[in-house]
Amino acid sequence: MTLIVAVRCRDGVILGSDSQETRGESGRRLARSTRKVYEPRPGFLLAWAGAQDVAQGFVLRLSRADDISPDADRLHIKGRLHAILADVRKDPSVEGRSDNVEFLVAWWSGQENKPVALHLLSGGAGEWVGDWAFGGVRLGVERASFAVSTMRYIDPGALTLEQAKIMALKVLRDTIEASVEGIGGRVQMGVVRESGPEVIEEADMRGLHDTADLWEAQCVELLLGSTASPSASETPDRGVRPPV
Amino acid sequence: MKRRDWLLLFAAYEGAPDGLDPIRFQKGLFLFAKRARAPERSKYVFKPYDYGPMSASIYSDLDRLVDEGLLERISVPGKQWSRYKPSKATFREGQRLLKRAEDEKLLDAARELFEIKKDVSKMGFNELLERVYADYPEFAVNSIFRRSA
Repeated sequence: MTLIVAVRCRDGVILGSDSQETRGESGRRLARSTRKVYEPRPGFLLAWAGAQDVAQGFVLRLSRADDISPDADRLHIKGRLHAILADVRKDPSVEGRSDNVEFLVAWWSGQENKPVALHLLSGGAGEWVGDWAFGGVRLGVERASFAVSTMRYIDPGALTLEQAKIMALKVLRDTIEASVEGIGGRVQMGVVRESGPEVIEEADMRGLHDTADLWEAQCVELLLGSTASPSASETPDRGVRPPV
Repeated sequence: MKRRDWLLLFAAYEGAPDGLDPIRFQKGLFLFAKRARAPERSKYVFKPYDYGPMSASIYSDLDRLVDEGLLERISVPGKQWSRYKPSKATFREGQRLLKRAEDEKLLDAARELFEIKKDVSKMGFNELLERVYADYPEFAVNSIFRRSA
């Protein structure tokens, strides 16, 4: 399975996921890295959880659909997404596995001039994302919800896109570090802003991780006062110095 | 001197025997780019980022220095980032770079870098960010951390 996360902030939506794909039966599971956040068609960002072949079938049909635009009415888009998923589930080759797939789909609504995100479940349900939404393995969803609850004093609707990225990253990596079975690997993220969707590349993720670490380090300094600086080390210093 | 040489010299200087985190490398080399009298081509180029000035090239050069055995990457419990710790090879290379700086008449820049290393190694993160944001507000515009009044 997977953990997928959506958060809607002041000026956009962030979708994120872990990157582990697990195959096989319990006790004989194999894990490998796979991409779970991408742009299936212009104007849309998607994260998936569940059976990969079912998700791929959905994404393929979505990419080929000719009547879905971020400028369309959101209810029309929702209806089309449900219809595509229902079509995928008719495929006999995915029978049995199509019950366990869900998606987070985000776009910038041209009609409403605001970010929109939909949590689409295989059973036919679809929920609009208010602030946070989670999908994937149950224990992961519970852990991620708990991680958010520890920061309930922060209103996502008040955050900028960059601030919300760090909050989403923290929730995802804290959940991954909790070693929930079926969740692991690096964090993947993408954003939807007024200018459109963008998948965050690995090199940029590094800067985001450092920002999250810095945030945590600053929290520690706020509580404890300034923490021990690197120069306070008791390790013998054999470093060089320039001539006076 | 190339910009990577200044990065390595920064790591080789005394002041942080257990190494530095990536944030202090970023801020140290940024202050060097702003303050030191050295050719512009030998300085990293910074953009205003989530935590103030950032150069992606510093990340890739730190990785290369680790791959070449000139720095050690030390995991930090509870953090995704690593500390970059100098080794004997770092100090040996640092001495060589100081000689080169002297040959290229860049000793003043090397001394400036030394003072910056001492400063950033002494400061906590809050103080370091406040100083950089106060002196270079144009690089704080995208910071996700609000400045104190």
